[in-house]
Amino acid sequence: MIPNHLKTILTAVLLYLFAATPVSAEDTDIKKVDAESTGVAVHVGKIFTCAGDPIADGTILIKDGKIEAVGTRKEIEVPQGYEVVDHSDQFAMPGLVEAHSHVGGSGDLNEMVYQTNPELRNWDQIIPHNDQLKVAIAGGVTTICYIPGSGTNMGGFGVLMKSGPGKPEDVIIRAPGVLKIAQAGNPERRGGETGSGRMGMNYVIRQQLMEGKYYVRQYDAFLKGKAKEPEFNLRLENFKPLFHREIPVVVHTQQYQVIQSTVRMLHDEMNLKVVIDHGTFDAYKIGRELAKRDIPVMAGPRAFQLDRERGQIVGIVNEYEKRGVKVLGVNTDAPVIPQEELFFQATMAVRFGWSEERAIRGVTIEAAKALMIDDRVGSLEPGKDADIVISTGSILDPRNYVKEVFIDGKSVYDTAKDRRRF
Amino acid sequence: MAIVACVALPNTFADDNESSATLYKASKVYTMDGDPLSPGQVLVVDGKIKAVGKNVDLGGVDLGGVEAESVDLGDNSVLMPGLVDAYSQTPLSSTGMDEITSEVTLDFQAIHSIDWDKNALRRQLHAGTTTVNASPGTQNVMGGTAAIVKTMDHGETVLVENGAMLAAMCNDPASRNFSRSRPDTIYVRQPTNRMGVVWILRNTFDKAKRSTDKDTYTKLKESVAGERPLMMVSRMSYDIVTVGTLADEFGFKPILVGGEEAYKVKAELIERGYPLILKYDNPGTTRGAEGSELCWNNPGILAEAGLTFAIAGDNLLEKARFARRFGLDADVAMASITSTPAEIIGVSDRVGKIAAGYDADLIAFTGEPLELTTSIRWVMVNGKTTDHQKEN
Repeated sequence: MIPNHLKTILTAVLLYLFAATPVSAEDTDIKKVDAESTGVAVHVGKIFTCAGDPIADGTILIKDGKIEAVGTRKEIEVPQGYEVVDHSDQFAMPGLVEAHSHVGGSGDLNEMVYQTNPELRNWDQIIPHNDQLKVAIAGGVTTICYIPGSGTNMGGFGVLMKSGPGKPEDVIIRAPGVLKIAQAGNPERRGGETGSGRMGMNYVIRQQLMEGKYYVRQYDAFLKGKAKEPEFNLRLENFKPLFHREIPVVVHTQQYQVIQSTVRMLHDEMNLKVVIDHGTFDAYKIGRELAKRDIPVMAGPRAFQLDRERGQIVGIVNEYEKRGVKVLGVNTDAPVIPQEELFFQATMAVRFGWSEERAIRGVTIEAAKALMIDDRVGSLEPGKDADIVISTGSILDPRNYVKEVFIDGKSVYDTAKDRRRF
Repeated sequence: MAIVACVALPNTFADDNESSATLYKASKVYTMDGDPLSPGQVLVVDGKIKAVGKNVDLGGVDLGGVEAESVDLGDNSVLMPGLVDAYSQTPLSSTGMDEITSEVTLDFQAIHSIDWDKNALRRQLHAGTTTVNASPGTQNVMGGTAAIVKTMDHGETVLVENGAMLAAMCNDPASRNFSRSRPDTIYVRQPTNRMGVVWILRNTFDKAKRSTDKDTYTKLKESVAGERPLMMVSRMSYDIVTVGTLADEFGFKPILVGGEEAYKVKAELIERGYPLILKYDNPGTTRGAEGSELCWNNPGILAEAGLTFAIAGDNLLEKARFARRFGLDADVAMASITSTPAEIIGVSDRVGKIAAGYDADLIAFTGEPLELTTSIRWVMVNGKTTDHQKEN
């Protein structure tokens, strides 16, 4: 994490950069792999499916944008007419899933007037395949959780989207995708209002959630014929999927004490699907409480910390691992860390003791589980979106690089045709 | 447009309110109503165009008992209709372009803020603009209704007094509110970014949809029902897409104003078929308002895509000249500042063409209108001409 004042400056700088980000008129990056009429067979030296053991000398069949089959080259028979892509000396893995990103669109991140903004949504401002996302693809990132900022306690609803080209409706996986709540740090107010301290902030968040919960309950009772229809309230509509536990709340929360209040209020009391979306500093010390409740942690962006008692730098991801957190991953908070460096967050976690296998799962299937999109992305299994990263070796080793990326079965980045971007 | 009032005073055509008839003879007349006539003649009687043709036969026309004066404009002379600016704030007083005390001011009317004696307005008249859709600005989210007026004679001719509703689907209201320092709270109001703009629009449209209160949302309800034009200012590609999203949610058909990045989303625009009022800036810059990425051939690209658009703003003729230079077809360029804007804002029965029954709004040129070296000799509104030599 970076200090608040620096973050404000950074955000301001980045907002300027967003305003100056050119987007090409004609997107020439869409390759003409027509996965809809014919299929594609990709031969790979090693496949990390993230759904079982790695496969040596494997083949992936793609059909209609989805994965048709995955297996060893011997097992898989390539149907007639399929285009064959030979990467038999490369590695394949699912496209990386970013759990906390701000680079999906125009940069309109914080609506700063009210402390809670459940009426806001950010998917009207997405810019598919923008310049940051193009580089992100070159880093293997195919799905991002694009969310409002942490300038207020409830920044609004975010969206889950692919990083590839297309119209907004083509790239959106789910909207509303998640709710963004920020519990401390950035949203602290110093203007003399309620909410300048943590008691006040949590009071404000809780009041807003109670209002939403009451609205959804009334509506549910109406659906069951037990109450009359509540007066429609557009402002509270997106609370419906939230309180129905169809979408999670991603929480800007860090430090032991703040995460205590996250667990107590958002999970235990409100019964929400909660994702700890920073969990930095000494917060890992509460890991056992998170593990007991199966609360996912997407740690970062800076996922290591000086433990004064031990007198050493510890990797917080491994500390959560040791305390039994199962759905565990990393995040970049892009552009705080550039979006394409998601893999490197996992690499650093491995440096501090996390296992390589868990790290690869952490940037794919575990992030997808946390965001509740593991039915679509995060592993290479039949029926899932054909989001595939081909790299020169394990993506965790910074000496390797991404050779080709497929999103929804289409090759969206190929170093053999494009220049190598990252 | 059943709801708009048409106020047209009959005595705007002559200095002394007496009948007059003049036959203008030019080497070429762009009628914008079929092919140009070469040579061509236009008969103006009492502020209206009475007849147009290669040779107008005065014997067959009722001139109200007066003798027709004949004016031969000479070699290389060209006539075209007075220009129609479909979106402008130039006529508004400098303190009255925007309402900034509230984000939604549906009942505010631009007509009450027009400065009829503004120099900037007179300059537009001399540059050929005879009709202008004077609109509230975008410093708040829903500014109110526009008025369509002539640029001469201090507002004696108001074509539409209480017309199109203006909404901002852009960052303008937000950038105005955003304090650029923390805390923001007590000094500003929503919106401070686009998410807030979208919310205020959705909330207002939703309230209008559900409201049984006749007065508050009447005009907006009319706009949603297609009885009153709805202009939405959007420049960035994603904001233009969002206009479509909102249109789907609330069931309206907007006129897009701005459209600087329309070339990026032409496929979406073709699907939707919204007419556009382009704010086309003269080249020399690569960035437009909000940092939009300008494409100098934006009009040409949209024309090839088959989209309907007007070019709007000050110095319309210069804009059309530049648009043509960067790829827009000359005929479309001419239409985009005359007949097309008239159609988009709903006054195509009176202005934008040289045809019998239309208002006598003309421009006399020394040559082809789109040539850079051509100059304007005079501009006519309702049969009255400017004296360019004296007034410029």
